[in-house]
Parts: sequence; structure tokens; C-alpha cells
Amino acid sequence: MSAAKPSLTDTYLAKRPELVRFFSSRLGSPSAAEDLVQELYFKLDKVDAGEVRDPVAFLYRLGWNLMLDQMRHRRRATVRDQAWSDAAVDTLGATALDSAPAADKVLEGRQRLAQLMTALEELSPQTQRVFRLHKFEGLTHTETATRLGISRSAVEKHVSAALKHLLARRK
Amino acid sequence: MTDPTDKAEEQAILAQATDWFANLRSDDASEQDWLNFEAWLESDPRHQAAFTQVEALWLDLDSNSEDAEQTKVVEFRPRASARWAGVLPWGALAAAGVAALTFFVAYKPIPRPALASEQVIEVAENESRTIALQKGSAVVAGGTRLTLSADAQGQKVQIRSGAVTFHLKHDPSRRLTVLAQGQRIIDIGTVFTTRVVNSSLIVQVAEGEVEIGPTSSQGAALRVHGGEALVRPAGGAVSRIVAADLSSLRRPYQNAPLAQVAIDLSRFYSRPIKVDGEDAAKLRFTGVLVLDSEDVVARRLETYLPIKARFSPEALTFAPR
Repeated sequence: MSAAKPSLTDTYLAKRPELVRFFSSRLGSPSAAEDLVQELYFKLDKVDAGEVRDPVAFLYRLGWNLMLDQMRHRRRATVRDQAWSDAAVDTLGATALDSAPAADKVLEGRQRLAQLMTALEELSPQTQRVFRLHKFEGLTHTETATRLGISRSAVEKHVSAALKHLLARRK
Repeated sequence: MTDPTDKAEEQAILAQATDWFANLRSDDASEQDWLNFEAWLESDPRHQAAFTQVEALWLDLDSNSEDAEQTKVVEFRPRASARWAGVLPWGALAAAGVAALTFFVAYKPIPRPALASEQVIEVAENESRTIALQKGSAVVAGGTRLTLSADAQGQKVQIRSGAVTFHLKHDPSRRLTVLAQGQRIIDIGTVFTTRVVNSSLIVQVAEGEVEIGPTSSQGAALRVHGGEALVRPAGGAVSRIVAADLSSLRRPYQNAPLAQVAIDLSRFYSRPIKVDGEDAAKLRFTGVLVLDSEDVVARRLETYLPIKARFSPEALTFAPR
């Protein structure tokens, strides 16, 4: 007889302080971390808990994905409107509002991407395949491993190798 | 000149950060891995910086699919969108905005109405109403007073008080202008809510983007994107907030029945707030509520009244304890 498995919500409530601490340090702001962890709570509804092997790791991962989503969103906004900083709150005088799209930033982003795509082609065909499946087609490591008939740890190594190469060429 | 050993060390840290990144993206990462990662991050300030660099690269690579996403055409269904805007928790709006850079392209031509008949719409406190607009529809919350008019430039909605959520198609050939508290809001194909509460203006954009500027001048306008909100206190300066924070607002209640408090609070949060049962509805509350997150406000009410908050995607419900 085993005790009933705690629900994801139970795990969340138990680990909430640790999550807030972790994301406070990642985001550099306890209140931003509170918001993020709160948002995480609402995401739990949609999760099939039966699929989750390590609930705590799952919560960290979900929170991290949310954080990356927010950064992604903020970047897009910044490209179109560079007037505001990364700060959560930005006060603008009613007369000093300027929404001119930052055309140079759009261009800069495109150029950087083109550069990265070229750098990606310098990698071995297998590393490229792994990286493309995981990053651009959104397959998980396990799915990528199954698709290519390799081990999960091999996928991890290819992803890491690709990122190292791209980082070196990004400068 | 940079010290070569520093440079090598920097490289080594970046390599560690990359290994961590790949490890944490894998499906095998365990709780222990995350704890070890946290310890690694905290052991040296350069670790955090290096990891952030890897994340920045990861996001740089996203712009690959971004252009495609922006031009994707989806069918606009007012009902589905209404659900989205209504159901999403306030904090999730940022996430919603990411997915919402989609515009409706086809439209059914609607004959332009003859000029300038003004229509006054008032909605009683405890009901809400959906009105049809040239570019889509709008849900008008209880206690709202607005004037609807049209001229050669398009439709105008002047909000005197209350809250209105607009669901509009992207259609550059027509224009909808919302006027409130001396500000002019022009939509660019979007879902957004405009609230006027005690002469403060709050504009919350769920999808797409809107342009906001003072009615008096033609020039300076600010664009607010999906997932963002804008607050302008009565007569004050405009401030933009990301995943919105309403905590600067306070709602005082004097011996108010819980049912009424719930109706009032519903105007500020994306989910309706309900009361389960007549006895609970009749409970009275006196005090000032700071409008933090829904959750915090619910907890605060729980401490004052014998009720329990229940969260679901559709509503926040208070039931007797």
C-alpha cells in the first residue's frame, strides 16, 4: 500500500517559498518572482499530473519557461518601442511619449539571426539535426532522441555543443 | 588588456553555463539538479551573467519563427476571444500577448452608418451587455456609462465610467476611437479593456496593440502591446506596466454586502468574481482593499469574512466556510 501521490498543487504549495527564492535571484526582483510563481499556479490546471515524473523539477522547468516567455515578449515590445527599460514599471511623462518603431533594432536582430544560422551550418550534420529538432521544431530531448535513434544524454551533449559554438560565433 | 587567465576562466564559466542550460532543458533534470544549479548560480556572480548570456542566445534564435508567427492568419471568433480575455488570470496576460500577435484579415463589409447619431448606453450594476461595433464587439460591464457615435472617420466610444472590453478585427479601412479621461485610444486590431474608475483610466491590452494619446494633441501617442497595461491616475502621468500591477489602487467599502464587493472587484480582474449562496452574499464588509493580485485580495477577504475562495479558470468564487 502506498500513500496517495501528492497532487501538483500540493507540491506547488509546499515548494512555493523555494520557487520564489530561486526566481527572485534569477529575475533580480522578489516582486517579479512573486508574480511569476503566482502565474505558475494558474498553469497547473492544464497539466496532466500523471505525466510528471519529478513534480518539483517540473515546477522549476515550468517557471523557467514562463520566465523565458516573458523575456521574449519584452524583447518584441522593445524592438517596437525602445523607450522603456527592463524595469517592471516605467513612468513616462504624458508629453514625452514616443513610439517610433526602432527600425535599426529590427535590422540588428535579423542580421544577428542570419549570422547565427550561418554558424549553425558549420556544425556536424548530426549536431545540426539534433539542434534543429529541439530548438526549431520544439521536440523535447526524449522525442529528439527517439526520432534520431540516439540516447537522451547524446541529445544533451549535441545541444550543449551547438550552443557553445553559436555563443563563440555570436560575439 | 585583459588578463589571459581571466579570459580562459570566463570561457570555462560560459561552457559550464551552457552545460547547465542543456541539462535543464532535458526531460531528465531532477529536483536535485535544480538545487545544484541554484547553488552553482549563487556561488559566483559571473555564473548568473554567463547563464543569462546563454538564455539571450536562445531567445535570439527565436526570432527565426517570429516573422512567420506575426503574419499567420487566424479566424477571429468573438466568443473564443471573449473567453480568452475573460478567463485568463491577470498575470497570464503577458503570456497571452505572446501568442496573440495574430490578426484577422478577411472581413465582412458592413455599410457605414449615416452620420452622427449619438447613442447613450447605460448598464445596470449587476448585469453586463455585449454591443456590436463596426469592427467587432464589446462587452460592457455593470455600472458602465458610455456614448456611441459615428462619423466619417469611424465609430467613437466615449466612456464616462465603468469598464468595456473590446474585441476588434484588424481592419485598417475603419477606425474605432475610444475616448476616456481626456485620452484617445485607437485600436490596431485587438482585444483590450478600458476602465474608468474614480477618474483614473486603466487600459489593459490582451492581444494586439493599441495607441493611446491625449485627445488634445495630434502628436504624442504611446503604443501598448498585448500583455501590457497602462494606468493613468486622475490628472496624472501615464505609467505603463508589464504584467499588470494594480496595487496602487484602493477600493474602500462601507458595510457593503459581499455580493456588491464581488461585482465591484470583478471590474478589475480578468475573471468574474462570484459569491456562492445567499447567506454569503449578504455578509457585510467594511474596509479598504488594495488591489494586488486576485489571489492576495481573495486571501485578505478570507481573513475578514467566514468565507473560502475557490479558483477556477472561469471564475473566482467565494463560498461559506
